[in-house]
Amino acid sequence: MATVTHNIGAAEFGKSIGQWVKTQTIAVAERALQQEVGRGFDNAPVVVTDGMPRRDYTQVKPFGKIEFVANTNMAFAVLWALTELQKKSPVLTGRYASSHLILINNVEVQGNIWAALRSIKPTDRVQIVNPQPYARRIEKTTARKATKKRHGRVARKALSKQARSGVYQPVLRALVGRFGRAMFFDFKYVNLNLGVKVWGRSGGGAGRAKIQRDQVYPSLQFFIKPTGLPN
Amino acid sequence: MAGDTLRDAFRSELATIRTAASIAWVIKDTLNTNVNPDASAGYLELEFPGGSEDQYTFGAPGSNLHREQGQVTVRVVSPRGNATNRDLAETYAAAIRSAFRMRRFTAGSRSIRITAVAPMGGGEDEGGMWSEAVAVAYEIYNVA
Repeated sequence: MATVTHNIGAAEFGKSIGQWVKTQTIAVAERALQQEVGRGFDNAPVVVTDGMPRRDYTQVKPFGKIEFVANTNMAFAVLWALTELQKKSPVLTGRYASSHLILINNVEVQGNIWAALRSIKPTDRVQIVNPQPYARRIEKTTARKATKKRHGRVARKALSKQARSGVYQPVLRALVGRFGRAMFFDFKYVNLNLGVKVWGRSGGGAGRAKIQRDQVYPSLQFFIKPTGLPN
Repeated sequence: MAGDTLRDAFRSELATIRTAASIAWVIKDTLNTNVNPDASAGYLELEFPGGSEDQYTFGAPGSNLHREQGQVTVRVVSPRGNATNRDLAETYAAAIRSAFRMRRFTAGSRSIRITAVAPMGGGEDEGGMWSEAVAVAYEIYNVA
């Protein structure tokens, strides 16, 4: 009986090896995800295939890479930050620690914070602020921000020995380390229009004047990083 | 001054962008220095809030890529209560954001890739100045 052999050649051999590697990569990725989900990993992660977020992992290239990244949503990051702020807050009466507020588009979130955060859009402005009048003084300031000669503000230590580096700025750094791949963060002082006035300087140079101006409050801002583009 | 390679690369790149975009305000290196910016004029400054790194390839020691992803914040700082300064700050912030978008530049022997930019809006800084922030996400592959 004659034996007929088809497609034995370097090109075909390479193709079949590639296909086998691809199949195995997918199988291993699925098995690893299953195991990790069993250990508590996110059961709806973002898939990064060959460096491309949200690309179907069955399209992985031979010898390519499939990554599963915990699906970091804004709600989770904001609530994590809120918890960290509360943990880092100095406590005397507990008023400061319990005063951190979440604002969406400058409106305070009341009621179910989780539900409100789950429904935000990428263009929404989410902030955490503390409206206590001494909140600014709890933050540490370094000499770099002290426009001493012209503006009258100088470097100073944080108000509380319980939080020598302040509260908001350490949490900002922790946020960037933990969620920086999915989001942008910023720390700044904001005006909440609560009617609290403080003495301060207006303008600079020879024309500066001492005036009463609105108190400002420390704030963390969150912004979803666009990830849909190949960039 | 020569500091961290990556930070120096960003400082240098911001200087290049400032020149190319004809931004009149100067760059102040206020990060842990004794610089006290003049409060009567606007200026630019950089902040490096940090990032994270993980191993990207696994192979011979010394030849593995480690992907570092982080954020750099560019601040356009201006005196408060002046519409001209406000408009200039917004214009400069937009120009810087556009210039950094998808930019690539070198840090030592490695290449920095800007993966995203975002307008972070305005607010005050500790000096009582108005600050328009531009967030810049970067990616660099370190080798070890």
